[in-house]
Formats: sequence, structure tokens, C-alpha cells
Amino acid sequence: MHNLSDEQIDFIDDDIRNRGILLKELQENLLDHICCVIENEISEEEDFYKFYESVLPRFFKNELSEIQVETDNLLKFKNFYTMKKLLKISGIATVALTILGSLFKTFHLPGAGIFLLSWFITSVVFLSLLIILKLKDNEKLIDRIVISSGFLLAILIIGGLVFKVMHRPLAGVLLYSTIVFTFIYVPVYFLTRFRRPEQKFNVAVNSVLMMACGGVFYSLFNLNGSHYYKENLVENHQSIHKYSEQLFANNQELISNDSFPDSILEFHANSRNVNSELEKLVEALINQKPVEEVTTYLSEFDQQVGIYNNRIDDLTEPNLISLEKGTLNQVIISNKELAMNILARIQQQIAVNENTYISSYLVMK
Amino acid sequence: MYICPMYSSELIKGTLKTIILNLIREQGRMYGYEITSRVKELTEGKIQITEGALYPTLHSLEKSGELDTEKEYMGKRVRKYYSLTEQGQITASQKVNELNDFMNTMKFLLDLEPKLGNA
Repeated sequence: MHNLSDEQIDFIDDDIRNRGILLKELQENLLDHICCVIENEISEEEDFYKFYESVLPRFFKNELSEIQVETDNLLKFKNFYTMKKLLKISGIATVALTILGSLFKTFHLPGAGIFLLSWFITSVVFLSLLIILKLKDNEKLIDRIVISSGFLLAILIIGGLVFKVMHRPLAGVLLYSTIVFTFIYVPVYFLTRFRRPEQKFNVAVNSVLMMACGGVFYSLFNLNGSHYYKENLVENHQSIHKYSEQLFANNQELISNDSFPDSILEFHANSRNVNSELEKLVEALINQKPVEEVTTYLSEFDQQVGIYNNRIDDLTEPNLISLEKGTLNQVIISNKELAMNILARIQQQIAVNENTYISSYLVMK
Repeated sequence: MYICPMYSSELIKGTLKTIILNLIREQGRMYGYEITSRVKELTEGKIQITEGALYPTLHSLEKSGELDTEKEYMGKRVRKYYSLTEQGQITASQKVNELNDFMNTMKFLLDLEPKLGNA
């Protein structure tokens, strides 16, 4: 048996690397294998380099790097199974969290937000894996692109839904994907597939179902931005605000022109305090201040409303009506116009209460 | 995938893992060149595993936990010996049984053996 010299081994090692074998383990395997073949098969008279050149083609069809490619493919195939397993787990988790999140949200139970957020995360994992697996598929390129973009749109729609339900910003922007889905994606899906006889029926059914779902999402989330509705709300709160300002001015005039007991003057001060906090909140909304700032003004306003309502309870005057509390928390960030409308109604109630209390005293007097 | 002087590659496609796992199970531990030589010797050259098919499969089996490796340094070379893990032992048995069952079914299907009760 011929023993290879260190130089000959180095030569083989370098050549393997130069021919595109990058994986260290594979380099070591091939080096030992080629050395074994040469040592066992070369005769004493044969030239090492010529023999090496004749042995090497046994290892490939076109080039040596094929072994590296084949190894990579097999290792990826292993990941493929892991991905499939993860796909199954995330799919089941998505279904379970959808049910739990919906139930908790419907019955206003604590933890609904966590379930919904987890639903979003698992569905993103599930749909992203579907995209990766679809792109690796052996189907036509156009099919892979169409189906993958469908999954991508599904991620955006789910994100929009979760953000919307949790009253988070950007929900509206994400939900524009429902328009893309309904009016662009579904027709593209249909047109690229319906000519295939074996898929015709399924494609038609899927397209109708997707169009129906997209339509439902679209009508649920995009028609609420009607400008007539918004204009109406703005007009409404502006006229209520104008009327309240007028009534506040009248009340002030009455207070200034006559002498009143302390209880009325104190109630007047309470009214001014709560109205001043309300105005600050309105100003923050009009100037589109950051969410944190608006929330701070809201909590200060809530505090004043609490004091005001307690005062009304103490006065035992049947015609005074307490101010509504808590409604604002739900809409202050998500629907500015509606929040302004609620605030205008509260302001009107403050002015009316003040006027009622002063008038009742004047009548009695 | 294979150099098969006698059999078409379609015919024996899918048996490579079974061949490798079973050989290593019988020998205890083997290195790459030894596996190809042994297969050639046992089949009298009817089946020859190419290096292009052997090493990717060995790496894949190692990664999936069927094979354990042990390195022996021989001057400037490193020889990697492969042996079966516990999981590999189970997989080897399963694959051999599966192949055996498949071959019996094929024999029956192709009427290569007299059917029971036909005598």
C-alpha cells in the first residue's frame, strides 16, 4: 500500500477547498476518503497527480461542490420537518387563542388582551412558516408568489383586527390591507387559477369565500370613516359647545349681579374647575398631543368629575344630574370626533346644572 | 445518486439510509471509505455507493441524531468514525423491517414466489 506524503495530503486538502467544499466536516471526510482510495488503488509506477485527477470524477457528475449542495439540501430537509412541527403547534395555538380571546373579550373578562396579543404572535409565526414553506414548494413561481402574498395580507389583516380590538394606533393603516385583499388579491388569485380544469371548482369556491370574508372586514372597518358622519359629529359638538359657552356666560352674569349663599358659590367654583379640566382635555385632542399627555389630562378630568358628582350627591337637589364617567376611556384615543362629542355633552350638562341650581335659588328667593 | 452497474437508481432509491445504518450496526463503527468498500465487496460490485451520495446522507443522519461520530487524527488527516446512537439503533431496525416487509410484498405482488395455499 502506498503512503501519501504530507505535501500530497496538503495538495488534496487545498484542491478540495478550491473546488467549493466549504463545510469543514465534509472537507475532512473527503480528504480521508480520497487519500484512502489513492493509497489502496495506486500502483508504484503511477504518477500521484495523474492518478488523483482520474480518481476525482468518481465523486461527482459535473463538479465536486455538488456534494456540498447535496449536504446542504439534506440538512435543510431536516429543518423542513422541524418547521412542519412548529407549523402544526402554532396552528393549533392560533385556533385555541382565537376562541379564548373572543370569549374573554365578549364577556369582558380579564386577560382578553393577553390572549389576543398571543393570538397575533402565533398567527404571525404560523403564516410566516406557511410563506417560507410555500416559497420552497415545487409549484409554479406565479402560484408560489400569489399564495405567499395571500398569507402576507392575512398577517396584516390579523394585525389590523387585533390593533382595532385593542384600540391601538395604526389599526386603520393595517386594515387598508383588507381593500388590497378584497379588490386586488382575490381577482388575481381567481384569474391565475380558474383556467386549470382540475382546480376550477375549488378556485371558484375559494374566491367566493375570500371575497365574502374580505367584504365583511372591509365593511366593518372602513366604512366608519364616512366624512358625512364625521362632519355631522363636528357640527354637533360645535353647536353644543356654543350653547354651553352662552349658558356659562349667563350664569356668570347672574352670579355677578346678585348675592348668593356659599353653597351656590362653591358649586359655581366646582363647575368652573371641572370645566377648566375639560377644556384642557379638548385642547390636547385638538392639538393632537401624544397619547400619554391626553391620558394624563383625562385622569385629571376624571378626578374633577368625581369631586363634582360627589358635590351633586351632597346637594340633594333633584334637578341636578351627575356627569357621565368612564365612556371617554374607550374612545378618547380611537375616535377623536366621538370623544369631542361626548365632552361637549358633558360641558353642556355642567352649564345646565349650574344654571338649574342658580335659577332654583332665585325662584325660591 | 448511486453508481449501480446492475440496478437502476430508481429501483434502489430510498434504501441508502437503510444500507448505511445496517452496516454500521453490524460493524459497530465505520468510516466513509470503509462503508463504500464494504458495500461493493458484499454486493460483489452490484451496488456501489458514490461519495456524492454517501457524505450528505452521513451528515444528515448525524444531524438528526441517528449517528454519533468519533475523530481519529492520523498525521495531517482526520478520520471520522460513525457509530449508531440509541435512536439510530431503533431507526436501523425499523428501516430493515420496513424494507423486508416491502420486499415480501413485492415478491407476492409480482408473483415471484408461490402463493400460500396454491399448492
